[in-house]
Amino acid sequence: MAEYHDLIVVGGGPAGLAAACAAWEKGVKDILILERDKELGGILNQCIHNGFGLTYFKEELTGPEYAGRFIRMLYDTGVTVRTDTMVLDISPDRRVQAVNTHDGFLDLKAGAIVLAMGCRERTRGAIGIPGDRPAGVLTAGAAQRYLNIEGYMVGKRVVILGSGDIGLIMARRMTLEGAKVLACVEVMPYSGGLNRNIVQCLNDFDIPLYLSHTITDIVGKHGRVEKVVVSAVDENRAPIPGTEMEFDCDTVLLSVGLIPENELSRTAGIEISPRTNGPVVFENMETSLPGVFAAGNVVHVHDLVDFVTAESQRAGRAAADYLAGRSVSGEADLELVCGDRVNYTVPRKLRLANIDKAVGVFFRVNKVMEAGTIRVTDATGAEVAAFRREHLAPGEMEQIQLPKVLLEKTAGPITISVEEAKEE
Amino acid sequence: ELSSKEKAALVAENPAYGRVICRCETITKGEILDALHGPIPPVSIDGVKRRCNPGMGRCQGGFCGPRVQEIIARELSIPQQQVPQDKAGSQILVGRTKEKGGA
Repeated sequence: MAEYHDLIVVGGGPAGLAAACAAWEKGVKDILILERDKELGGILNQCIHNGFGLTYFKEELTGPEYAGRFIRMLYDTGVTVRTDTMVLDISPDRRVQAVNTHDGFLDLKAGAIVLAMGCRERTRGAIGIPGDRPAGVLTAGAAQRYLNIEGYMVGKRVVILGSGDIGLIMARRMTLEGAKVLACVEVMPYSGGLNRNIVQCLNDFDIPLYLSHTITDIVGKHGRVEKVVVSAVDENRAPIPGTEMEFDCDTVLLSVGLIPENELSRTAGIEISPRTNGPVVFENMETSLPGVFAAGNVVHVHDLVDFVTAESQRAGRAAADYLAGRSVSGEADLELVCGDRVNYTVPRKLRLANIDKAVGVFFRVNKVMEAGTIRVTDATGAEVAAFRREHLAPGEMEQIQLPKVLLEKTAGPITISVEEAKEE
Repeated sequence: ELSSKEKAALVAENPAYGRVICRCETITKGEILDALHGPIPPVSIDGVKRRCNPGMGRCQGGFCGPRVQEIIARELSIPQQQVPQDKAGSQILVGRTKEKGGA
């Protein structure tokens, strides 16, 4: 006999916390959060740097502080939490199987589910860095866990591959703990991280950033990394012979991308987008499975936790509406398509009945642009809306609001594109 | 590979089988402890990997690595810093944070 809950939230990080609180506020009184770690907070617990919550709280909090605000909000609700609990399977009819040492094997059934599993890091094997396999090659997030949660140093002389935010943050973190960070190496001609991190983590510590370069060999024949070879790459990201530089180091930190963790989504039969590696979602964050919603990094990798919170609150409220029979399931009225310079949009499908006044659409551009105009066009190519923005970059997620009154008059599919502003 | 009923019975008997350490391959603490207490025990993180699989999945040990390291340290009664990745000389940790002296 399965244990029933109105809403089961898989993951107690910022996404799961915000979704649970929002669902509670909208009237759901039987909510269970399942979290695999021993505490709530998710990845924020190891992000001890500040900069979280600039938008949401108008303050610069550290990761644990931001998570702490939502955990305290949770105390004022009747939401139940099971930590140290690993979800093993989710079936299409919303049965959830989980396990922990205390309760043993859990057989649960949910009225609605919010998926908030976050993401994992891309590995050395996935990008095929040649060379030996000594100790000292780890992902930046794993290093961050060792330093910030367990209190261990992972190396003394460091080369970082990837200028995404995690790599930049760890460049500073390792330096502050006495390591020498020799270089940050980035294969693209631009950095994937937030501009403020380039300044505060590399420039402020005189750590050189090598754009359009990559690590082409890792050498370590006696157990530990001894040196790496870094080469310049051409416009096809192929190494250019003759440009090799050697760095004597004992540690390589990899910050080469995050991948949404959707194994559970896949086994449940949820449609996954190949562009985001996350579930295809509707305007209210519902997946292709009715009653199953998703939010946060499991849908698409975010840069700002404030956006995660907004998106997760949307999912929590939608789950509440679903349980109360107030929302519409089923097919989309409008689909969003990526035009020039746009990599993906979340959501991808819209049902007008579930939109209140406007729907927020998150997307990423595929090029660094000083300024540009975001164009929203209908099936005929006629412009429906335009938004002017400055400083667009792949590493900084954008958001636009599409008003319902506009969508009601528009024939889909709707294309979202960005036109780069010409030099004056 | 066990059925739900078999899993429930196993965890009830030994809670260590209820703590999932490697989430990609669903390897529990119980299985890791079994490997470490077998007749020819592994003595490194990669050794444990070869014996019962934690670290072979999609995150390649990013999530379970620190936890496996901690379990090995405790079971072999050595400081965590001494646990090797694979062969001798392949330690992952070089010290504690907040210690004096840099590179």
